[in-house]
Amino acid sequence: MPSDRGRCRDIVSETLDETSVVSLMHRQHIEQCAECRRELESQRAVRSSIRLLRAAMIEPPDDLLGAIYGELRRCAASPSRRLARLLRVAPYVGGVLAAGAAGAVLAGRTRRTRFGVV
Amino acid sequence: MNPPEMARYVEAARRGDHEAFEQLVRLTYRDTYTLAYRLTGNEEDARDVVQETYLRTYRSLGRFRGDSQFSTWLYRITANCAASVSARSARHRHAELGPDTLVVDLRADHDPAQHADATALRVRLEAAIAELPPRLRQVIVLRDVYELPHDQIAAELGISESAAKVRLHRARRMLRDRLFSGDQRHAI
Repeated sequence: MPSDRGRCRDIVSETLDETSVVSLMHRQHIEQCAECRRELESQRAVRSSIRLLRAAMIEPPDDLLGAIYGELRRCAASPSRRLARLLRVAPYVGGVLAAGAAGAVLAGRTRRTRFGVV
Repeated sequence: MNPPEMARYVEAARRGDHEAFEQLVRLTYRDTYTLAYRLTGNEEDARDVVQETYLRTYRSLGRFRGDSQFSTWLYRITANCAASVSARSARHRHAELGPDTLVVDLRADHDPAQHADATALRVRLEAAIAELPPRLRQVIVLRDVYELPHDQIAAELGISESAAKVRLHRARRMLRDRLFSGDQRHAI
């Protein structure tokens, strides 16, 4: 049954992880269920094998360190991202403001002409 | 490198000492590359992940509060970058460790026969992990090799904690079936 399989899976995982105190109910289940015991043992074997990898390094390409330093120096030399974004949008913002100001001046002049102020 | 020495470099780097940060990179990049390679399964993506990891680390070093070890913080950033790279990489190559990939054992091991057995097992393990689907591979590497807690794995991969646990269980089962295929398989 899927619910049993799900329950057994949780029991095996939690017992294996030992992240929390294994409940008495789980321990009793493991003791009584041969299938869960086998699953637990085989997964324990896998996990202890995997932990061997912690001490094994995969040798990086020779040029990687230089490439990282290069990226970092570029990053350090360039302005901050916020400032860079500000500099990028500044001409557009300036243009919009100038256009707005020009429009306001023109509108004011037109209004004064219409009412015969000029 | 011992943690206090690492902490001194971290503190200097946080104050803006660029050379101290480069020193941190030099001391940690092999470990970071190893994790990135195991998470992505190929050299090209691993390179991208490592470079992105150090850029993010450099930019956010001011936010490192020292609650955890610097190496753990670096693993989390690496995991997050690897998840992004894997998500945008349409290739999803499942490269096995080829003859050009050099695996170096850091433990002192003087028995040649034992050493040969251990090397053979490691090569099989690396290959079996590389063959796992990326979303299962990421979880099992972070949990079982690097021992990150479930909540941190879930946070960095952008998934729920229960999803992380389910993926871990599936990954362990798949790995067991691939490594010990002669053994009896179970239905849990």
